[in-house]
Amino acid sequence: MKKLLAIAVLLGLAAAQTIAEITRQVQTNLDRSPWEATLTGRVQLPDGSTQEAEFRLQVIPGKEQLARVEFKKPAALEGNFVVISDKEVWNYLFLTNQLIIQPRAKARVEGLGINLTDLGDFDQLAERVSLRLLGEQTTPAGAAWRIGGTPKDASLGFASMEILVLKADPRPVSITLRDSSNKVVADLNFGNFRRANLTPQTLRKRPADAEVLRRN
Amino acid sequence: MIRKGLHQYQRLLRFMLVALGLQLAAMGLAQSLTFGLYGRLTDSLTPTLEATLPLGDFDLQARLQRDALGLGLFGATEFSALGRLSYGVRAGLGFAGWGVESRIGGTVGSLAASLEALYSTTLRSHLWVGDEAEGGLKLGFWGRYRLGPRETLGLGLGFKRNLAGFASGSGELSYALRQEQTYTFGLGVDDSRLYALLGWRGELDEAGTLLEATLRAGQLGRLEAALTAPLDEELNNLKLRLTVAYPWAATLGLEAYGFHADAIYDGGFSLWLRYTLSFGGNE
Repeated sequence: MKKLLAIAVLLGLAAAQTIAEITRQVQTNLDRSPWEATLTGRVQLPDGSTQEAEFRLQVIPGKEQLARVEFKKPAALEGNFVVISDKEVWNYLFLTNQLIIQPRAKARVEGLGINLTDLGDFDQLAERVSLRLLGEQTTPAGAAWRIGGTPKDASLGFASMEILVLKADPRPVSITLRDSSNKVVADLNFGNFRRANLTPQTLRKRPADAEVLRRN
Repeated sequence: MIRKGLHQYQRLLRFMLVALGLQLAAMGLAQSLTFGLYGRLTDSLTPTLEATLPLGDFDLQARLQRDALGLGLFGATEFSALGRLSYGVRAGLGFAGWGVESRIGGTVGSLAASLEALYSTTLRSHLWVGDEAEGGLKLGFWGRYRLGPRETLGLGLGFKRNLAGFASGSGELSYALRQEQTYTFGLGVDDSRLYALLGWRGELDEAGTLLEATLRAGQLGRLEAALTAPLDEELNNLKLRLTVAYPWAATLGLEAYGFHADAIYDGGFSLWLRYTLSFGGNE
């Protein structure tokens, strides 16, 4: 019995180490150079409706990490974008041509079933969510680790998550979030992943005539 | 005797207004302070001061000029990329009369709308030099609705009853198509005068210099053009604005690094120079 318990503990430790190692590999890979990807799938809006979603995610990793999320779908959000830096979150609303700037700590970037700031920062995701390795799975992009997670903070807006991480090129290929009744609130696939020559100027591009509103 | 007393009262009020403005600045409470000087040909100069102060989740805005004081309270609720709701009220009091105004506006998903109601017992320009030379009641609505990812329908409705009791209405319907540039077409009516609307908005170069021009032509005529060029990564822009209207009126505006200059012709010439000091926080 003691032996079985010891084996179970060792297996648990090995699994914990594995997930830590996978997280480290993903972060190292994503931190190597600026990259962009297109996220497609479905998200649940605050009114409860599920809509087709397409975002373009651009990330400059490093000490002064910068991420930009451009909305292509749902059509109601087309033209809107969010720029996330260590200090600030810019939120551009196309219909009113307004750029709302908030401190990162205060800005709410949830609301689409998924916290957009976590998509480009795996370390931060691991800080907010308890991750565990569920197994492996074959995806169109190749063999992938299947990782499950439960949020450490109930305010994240979902009850469980599942991420597929490509083994050959450690990066997420899909993410699924579910609520407490196991209903999918976001299901997104990472496509068109590529290393890109992105600059802070590219990511901070906005209509020059946008009304700038600083909110603290 | 009464006239002398009134004169002294006016001087005292002016002194208090200036002192209040300086006090706010000295206390370091302001998030932004805008100092201005307004002059109208053949009239005396009017110093102006605007201050924005944090008040809980709201912003208190104070406007001071030679003969009037205005106080406003503004707030907003943000919904991230999904939209926002903003609201505010303002009251103005001066030697010429008083005025109140309220605004609520927001955007959620495919819809953006704004509603405003203003009432004043004098011309609003007597309570704040930057406001229009109209008094009485004014109600306004504008809305924009996305027909599709790149098509937007716009609607503007207005009602005015001026100080003499004359009422007039206005309405404008527009359609905007966004490709590389945005093209706008529309029809409107303003106090029984019909007009057509044509608009163009687009970037002129890689740096993001942006030109927007709108022409309203028919039984009234008005051309509005605005050129905005980014100056740096600190969100500083050079803005040039030009409005020419028939019956004859024109404005020319220049804005850069917190400096604003507005030259206005509306039957008489006026010039308003302002400089804004920002201390962070809400704007």
